[in-house]
Amino acid sequence: MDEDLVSAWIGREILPHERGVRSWLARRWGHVLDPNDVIQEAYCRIASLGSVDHIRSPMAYFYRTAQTVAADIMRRSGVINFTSMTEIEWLNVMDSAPLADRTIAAAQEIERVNGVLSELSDTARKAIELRRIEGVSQRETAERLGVSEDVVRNHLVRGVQKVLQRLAAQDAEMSGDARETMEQKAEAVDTSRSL
Amino acid sequence: MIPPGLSNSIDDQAAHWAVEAGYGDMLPERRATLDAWLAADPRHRGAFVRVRAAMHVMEGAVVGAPAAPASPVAARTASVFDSGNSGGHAAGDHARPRRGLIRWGGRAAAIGSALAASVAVLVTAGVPVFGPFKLVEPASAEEVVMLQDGSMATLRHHAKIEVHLSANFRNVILLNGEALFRVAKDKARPFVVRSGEVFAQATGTVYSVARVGATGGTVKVKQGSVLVWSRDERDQAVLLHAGDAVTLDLGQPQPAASRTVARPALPPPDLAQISLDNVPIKSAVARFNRVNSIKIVIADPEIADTRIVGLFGANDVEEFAQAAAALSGGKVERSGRIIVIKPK
Repeated sequence: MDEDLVSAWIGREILPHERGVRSWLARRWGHVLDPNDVIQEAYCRIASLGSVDHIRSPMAYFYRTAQTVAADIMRRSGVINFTSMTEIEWLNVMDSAPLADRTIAAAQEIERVNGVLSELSDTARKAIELRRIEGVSQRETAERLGVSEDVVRNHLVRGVQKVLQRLAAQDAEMSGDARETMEQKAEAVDTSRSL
Repeated sequence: MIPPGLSNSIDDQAAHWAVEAGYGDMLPERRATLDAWLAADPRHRGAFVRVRAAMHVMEGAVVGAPAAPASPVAARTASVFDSGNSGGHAAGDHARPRRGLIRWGGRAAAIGSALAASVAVLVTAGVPVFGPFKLVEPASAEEVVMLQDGSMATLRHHAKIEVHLSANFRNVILLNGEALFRVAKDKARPFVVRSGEVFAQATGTVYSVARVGATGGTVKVKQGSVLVWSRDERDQAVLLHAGDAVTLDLGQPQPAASRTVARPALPPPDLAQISLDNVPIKSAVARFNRVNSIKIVIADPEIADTRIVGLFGANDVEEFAQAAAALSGGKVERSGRIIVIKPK
């Protein structure tokens, strides 16, 4: 699949759920593995998909991929006490899917774009325009903006990091309630199982 | 390897690399360094993919087109592939083998792939090729090649193999003929031979694979044990032991044993999982019924068509039935070895 399409799809459908997946991982397996490792490897696997057309609920797919990665990491490191995800949890992921599997309304989309833009410095914004619209080199960009190439790079790195933080936090804003319900149910299941 | 930024966290490194790849004027050496960094760890690739996704959103917001920017600047595309096979559990989508290659467009291709940890070399019996292999001159119809990981492959009947090695998997595609593999032990990197649509996986063992027809294969095990499956049905894999042989051909849903009867044993517990990604309950039930003696019957067409997502132990029939019933608003009734899912 075309790499730009994958990037666009991940940015639109996967990144917004990252925070939810991260806290779910931390709560469930935080004592045996680093959620960061799991998230990174999950992105790697998602990027390797030949096609994403079959994925109706990217959120559920993200959870499942993360769960599979976590299982693999634990198996590799010899952790035996691995509780597999219960069906109740899956059902809850399904439950909240429509919330997150949103078709963004136009107004929301504009808000989102403005939000992203507000994270960027003028230098970063101009550098993106020069590169993507005019196709100029980094050196020329730096010359035109009157700063060093390092400064341009740093602005872009900081910009993309801030955008990442914003995108990855969307899930929390939009479906916080649903997630909380899911957490409670999942914990209830855990408790009943350990008895 | 020199991280491009001062920070040493993977996410920070990925952000620096992605900006450099997207905006910098990278020399081939630098690109090769990035290739090597990406190949070193799936977490690196994942973090890179993540940053690129955010960059995409960022650029879309600035340029005003959320779609892919049709930039004439070529020096920025990277296709990142990962091995699906490293994900042992992930049947279905993940079980399909993918090439562990990292490809770069443009001038850096040759250098990049030469230095990257992933290598792909076509080895042809009888035709000496350049590559990281010790090749024996084709004295007879048989030829022994040493793979980079220390495994040996004996090629027969003009066998042709394609080898893909990376940090977390070893994939061999048998293009034709027959090959015997003496697999070097390496638990972290499963060794998977593919013949058409048939897959055989081992970590350290001796087994041969021969092409059958356009899509099939015969797997014979001499030592150790080998997991064999077809297409993406890794969750229904057959475990072969020394002395066993199995021939799988397309169109045959059940493995037909050729020499000894292949035991339709379940794979080890950690592999025996059925993952359902939004499939109708009726097809999920068919998958459970194929591998379990307890059978599920669906008594209502509406329940049968309800779609389900989940990961279940292949023998957790009861658990699956309960989940399916809960999802579709039905209930479960069990009598003997039959579980009925019916409307409330």
